[in-house]
Amino acid sequence: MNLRGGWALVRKSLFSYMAGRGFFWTLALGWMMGPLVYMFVWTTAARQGAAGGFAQGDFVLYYLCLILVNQFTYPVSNWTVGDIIRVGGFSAWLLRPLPPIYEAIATDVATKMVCMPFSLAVVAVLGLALRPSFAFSWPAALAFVLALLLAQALRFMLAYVLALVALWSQRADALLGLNDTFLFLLGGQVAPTALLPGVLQQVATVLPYRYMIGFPIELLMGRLSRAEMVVGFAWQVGWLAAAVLLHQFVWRRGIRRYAAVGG
Amino acid sequence: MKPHILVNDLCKVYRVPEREAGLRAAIGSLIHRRYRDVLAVDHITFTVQPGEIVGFIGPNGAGKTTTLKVLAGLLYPTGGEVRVDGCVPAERKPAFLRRISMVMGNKSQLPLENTVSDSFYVLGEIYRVPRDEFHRTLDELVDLMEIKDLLPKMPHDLSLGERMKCELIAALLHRPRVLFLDEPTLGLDVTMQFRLRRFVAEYNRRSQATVILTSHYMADVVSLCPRVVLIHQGRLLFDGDLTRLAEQMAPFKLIRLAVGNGSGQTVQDVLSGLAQPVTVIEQNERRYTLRVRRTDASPVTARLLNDLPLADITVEDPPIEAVIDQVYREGVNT
Repeated sequence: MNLRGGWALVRKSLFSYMAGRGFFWTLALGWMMGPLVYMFVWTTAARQGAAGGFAQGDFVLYYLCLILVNQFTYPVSNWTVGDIIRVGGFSAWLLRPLPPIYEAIATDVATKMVCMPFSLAVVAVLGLALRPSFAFSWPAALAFVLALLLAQALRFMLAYVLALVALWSQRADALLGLNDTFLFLLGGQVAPTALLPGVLQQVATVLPYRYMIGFPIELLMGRLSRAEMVVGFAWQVGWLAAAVLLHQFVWRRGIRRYAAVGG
Repeated sequence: MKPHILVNDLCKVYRVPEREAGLRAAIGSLIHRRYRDVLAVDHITFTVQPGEIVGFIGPNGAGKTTTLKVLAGLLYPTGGEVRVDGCVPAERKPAFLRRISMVMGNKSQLPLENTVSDSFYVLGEIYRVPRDEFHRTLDELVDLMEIKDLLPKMPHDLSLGERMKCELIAALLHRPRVLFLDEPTLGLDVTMQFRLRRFVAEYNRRSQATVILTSHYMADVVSLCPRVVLIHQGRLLFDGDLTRLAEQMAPFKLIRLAVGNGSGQTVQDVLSGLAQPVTVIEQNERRYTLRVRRTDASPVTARLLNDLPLADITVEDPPIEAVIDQVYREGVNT
């Protein structure tokens, strides 16, 4: 493992974000807009009474957490990796004595370092203004942190594997778009998975998307029983292992097919 | 001596999709896609000794860049054996990648949104160059290339020549033992080409690195590469000294002569009386350029000297560009 090189790549991304000045904060603000809209829709819907066990304050808390979880887990490099493969820039990555996944991880880490303080500040201001109901507990917070880290790893790995499909088809965008749509519907973005209609809820429990966003928030809010928590972690770890194995398979096959496009 | 680069029976086939023109064919290709195999490199064999500079020449689409990419580990060979500094490039082991470098004239490898200085720092870290050594090497290369004023700039603010100087330095910061230069002078003006050539020659002299250079500018090849490998349509046509290339590929010489005053015979009279075939390829008043077979150069020159009042005469090999052009157009002429 080349940590020195990996950290240098993080610094490289940070340098370029600083050159772009406010661009990434604008981007971070854009990522917040969706959850804020859903929050206002659901709090309006819950004005007459709780919806699916969620009161107005619960929706506020859920979506404020979602802003942070979404930003923390968002795999910013998933779009750039496919583009770089398509235009032939991947060759420069392959020539270096570092696996290309270092570039993707470093970009993600740097983005989070730039965006998260900004997002935390915005969410803190919104929290003070909207005063969501929140009962803190250490076990829930620890479970949240663990689930958040696993969620980040899972979301990153799946997006990276899908981006590597560009090694074959040179067009991975459609798959990444489909992945984002599933995440929007089943990950807990459009609605907490507990509010999804019967079959969709069962599908959401089985697919990986809930474990990328919704599951950590449900843990923090203390909405899951011990059994549901254990099963949830099992699914999360299982999907992460599957994504890592899939990465090994796709990488080995893909690199053989890579034809150095545009080189 | 054990070769630094070994290429044995290398073959590379690309599988490319193709279809007829028109909407019908486009829709058909959605259901049934047709592929065609393109033989980019056709079983070539050569070796390069440590410290050698070899010019890899050939027309567009000859297979030069494909071969270089196979040597750098960017492409898997379809067949054959390739070893660079004792490693199999396709395995792309970090230890191998730390020993090579590749500069592509048509593709920037410097991140556009980092200053040149920051990019150099990042590369030093990626290649784990010890800090003292990194600064020493950087200072040396910056002085050699005279780019100190470029260090705080972004690559997109550099001219093509300035960018290429920085690309070369970026490629050498980890002191590679093998350097692949793929058209490094592409699009540069004559002065910049000259400076880059001088830099590559100096780096080779100081570090004893093995260099393979592809270029369409014969001046690059002539000034840097005592040895050339000529490749055409994927096949190796020539491997040897540049001076031998003209002898082998173009078995003729050029006789340039200027006729003085006071002769009864014209040049045409003399040429028509020769037993050897001679072609007048250029005439400008009393100056002529003749093409003769290499073996005929001496007797023809002797006859011209004897029969004509010459003001000047020279016998020379054809320009290397003309030889290469002839090979590209007509193939090998041996």
